[in-house]
Amino acid sequence: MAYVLHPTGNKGGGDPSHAVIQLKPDGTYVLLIGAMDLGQGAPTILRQVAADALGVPIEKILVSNYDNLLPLSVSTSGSRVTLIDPHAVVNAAEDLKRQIREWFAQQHEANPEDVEIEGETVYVRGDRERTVMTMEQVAMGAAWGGGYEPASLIGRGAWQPGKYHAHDPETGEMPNVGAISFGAALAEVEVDTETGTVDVLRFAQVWEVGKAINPLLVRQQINGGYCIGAGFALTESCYPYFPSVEYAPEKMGDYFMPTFEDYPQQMIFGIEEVPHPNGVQGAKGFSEGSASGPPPAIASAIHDAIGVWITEFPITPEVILRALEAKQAGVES
Amino acid sequence: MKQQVLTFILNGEEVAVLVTPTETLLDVLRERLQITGPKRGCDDGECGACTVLLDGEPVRSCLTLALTVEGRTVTTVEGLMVKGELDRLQKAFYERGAFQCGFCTPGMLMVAKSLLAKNPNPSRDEIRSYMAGNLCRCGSYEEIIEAIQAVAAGEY
Amino acid sequence: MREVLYYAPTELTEATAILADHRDKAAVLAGGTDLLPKLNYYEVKPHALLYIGRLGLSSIHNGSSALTIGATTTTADLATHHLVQQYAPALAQAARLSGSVAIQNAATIGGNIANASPAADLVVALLALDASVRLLSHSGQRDVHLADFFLGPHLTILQPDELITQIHVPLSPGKTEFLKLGRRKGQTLAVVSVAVRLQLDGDLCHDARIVLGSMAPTPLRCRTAEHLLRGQKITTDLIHQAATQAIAESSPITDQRATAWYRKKAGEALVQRALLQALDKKEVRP
Ligand SMILES: Cc1cc2nc3c(=O)[nH]c(=O)nc-3n(C[C@H](O)[C@H](O)[C@H](O)COP(=O)(O)OP(=O)(O)OC[C@H]3O[C@@H](n4cnc5c(N)ncnc54)[C@H](O)[C@@H]3O)c2cc1C
Ligand code: FES
Ligand code: FES
Repeated sequence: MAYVLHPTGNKGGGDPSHAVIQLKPDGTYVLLIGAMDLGQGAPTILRQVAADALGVPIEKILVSNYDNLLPLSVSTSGSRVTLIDPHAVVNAAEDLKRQIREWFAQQHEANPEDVEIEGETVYVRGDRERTVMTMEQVAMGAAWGGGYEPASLIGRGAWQPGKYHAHDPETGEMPNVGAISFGAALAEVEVDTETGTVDVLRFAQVWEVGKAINPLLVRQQINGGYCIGAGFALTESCYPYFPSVEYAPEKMGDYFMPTFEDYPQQMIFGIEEVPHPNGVQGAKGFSEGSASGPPPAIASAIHDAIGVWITEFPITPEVILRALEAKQAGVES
Repeated sequence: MKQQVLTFILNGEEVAVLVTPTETLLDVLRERLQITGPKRGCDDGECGACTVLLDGEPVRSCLTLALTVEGRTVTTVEGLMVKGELDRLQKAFYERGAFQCGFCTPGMLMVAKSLLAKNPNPSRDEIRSYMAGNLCRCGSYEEIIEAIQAVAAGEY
Repeated sequence: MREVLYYAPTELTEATAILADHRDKAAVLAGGTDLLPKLNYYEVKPHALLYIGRLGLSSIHNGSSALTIGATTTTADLATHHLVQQYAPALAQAARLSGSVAIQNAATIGGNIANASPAADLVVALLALDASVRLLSHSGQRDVHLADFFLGPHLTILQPDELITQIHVPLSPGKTEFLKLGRRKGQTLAVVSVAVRLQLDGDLCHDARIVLGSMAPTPLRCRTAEHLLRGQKITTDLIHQAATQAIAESSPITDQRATAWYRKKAGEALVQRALLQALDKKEVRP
């Protein structure tokens, strides 16, 4: 069993993300953001966040995140995207709504504060009948001009976690800047004490993620993290090469990634939600942590099975046999 | 190098293409026919991303010399869709999130297709053993197993 | 630019004539699962490729004294064919544990033998079954015991103008087992593999075969260990002795899959296990 605390975002300040949301002439939106997608689904959740912030269906939002001309998101690393980028997106959405209000007020000789945006409907409070327009009409008017003033309705937003300072040595109090996610991993293993092979029979992992903006993506990260972590725990090694540098893998066939058959007979995952004060909708990142749980959980299950603590990865069959020999010889391993 | 004509059935249609003797089926599909579903993950037979069906059976297109498929039938992921409708496996993979980056998916789908053709109701262990030659670095194994079982259970 | 010629003959005489013409400049291509990685990474640069998949050599027959297996029979066929399951179950087991489905559909028995890897799974099983190979060239044909075929890693007595056309597996009684340890469970080469065959007379061992893979420059018959069992009453103790002796005959190396130390240690356990499990197997009766 293992317990994981996973800090998300580089809590030093200096870890910002930027976002741009543009209202297109047809009333749809383009979200421009630098967060790279490696399959983890960053554009999907950022699209969800933008849709929520603008109060429009997700289909109205197109994401572009595959271009070096896009606004900076420091990196897709440190499980930071879900904690930080949504703030940039929300700020960009607010900025865009402010511009829409200003433009709308100008067209109707009203006060921007009196302009109401209800999803895809815009009107001046108290004068709804006369002023109401759909967002599509607003977008068209601003884009094509004609009877209206043309305007570039492009919202911009940026955000970074607060400045970090060390915890108070007297009280132990920590600054509330980034976020920490909490995970628990449980492994059931079978160890063959004659050949040293380890079979993970069942594995369970539960993560507290603040808020699962997209539960399917959270689930994929939990289960996917198992494969990365299990490879790290049992088979994969790059440095120092196994058993020494002369045997560096040259081709993929020399490298031992877990296959379907190395995957447990039963896999259990769980998601817990305790909204985090620093996250948009309470969400925080966690994904890399799901790869950190399996190695210690597997190592501790091995300890439970054979009574030896293994302190190196990967725990190859040879490592097991040597540990058992050392135990037999009464040597502290 | 001298080129020669290779004729075979690709996704239901006869194709004739000029190839050199050392080109693999994967080279010809991707480079000459712009069939880019099969992916080149390793060129070493290890990863399974290039897997296609040859006369209905999964093989590595990176280890298949192109000229050896003369007159035979090759199916790639491009051939799974029928009349613009996704195959049941494609639908299940899509809806159940059986991939993250998707690089392994074209190979996974072909092997899963052949598994269900032979064994319409495979157990979890049968799926694990039949699919073992296809690696997924994103670790989507659980979702892939469930997608295959959902198709077997008639949910798609 | 380098020209490479491609041939896909349908007649054996054509094939052997092509080999004779090109001498050692031609590469025989069967399933390609060993050759293609080398071609793809320019580790071999043949002048001609001779594809033997259209020679009609993919069949399994039951003769009066032996199974005859065509050289281009695939590993997938070996794993599922009823004759192999009935008369050479260890070979079927080795086939099932070789590579993965897509590899098995292409890989051939002739390729596994000619490639001469110390880890070749089918070879380990075939040696325990006393198999022999038929070699054909433009000038004639010869049958060679598989035990006399290998000279070292990827080195055999096969001449550049010779083809393996058939594998003969004598139909003989016995209880067999094939076991394999890899670095992982799926699609994995042997760190150590073992095939055993016990011919029993009640609880007396009439004859035995113990073969190790990945434990020497070639798949290895452990003749002294076999001798220990011959004519003896089989006991757990004797099995332990035979396993220890088998490992004493081996000379494994350290490579990226495992160290020599591990191979010996786990190998001994595997031989014991194979012998014990073989005793519980159904007897093969020709
Ligand atoms: C991912 C992967 C996993 C693998 N796993 C295993 C495994 O678990 N166990 C295992 O044993 N092997 C494994 N292999 C190796 C390979 O699949 C086998 O050795 C296979 O049996 C080779 O057969 P082939 O027909 O593909 O050989 P080819 O590649 O066609 O030929 C191999 C060599 O033999 C020669 N040759 C082939 N047939 C003949 C013939 N009839 N006469 C004369 N020469 C001939 C060729 O010239 C070439 O030098 C694996 C390979 C890969 C790529
Ligand atoms: S590209 Fe063919 S198996 Fe990896
Ligand atoms: S989904 Fe990324 S490799 Fe399988």
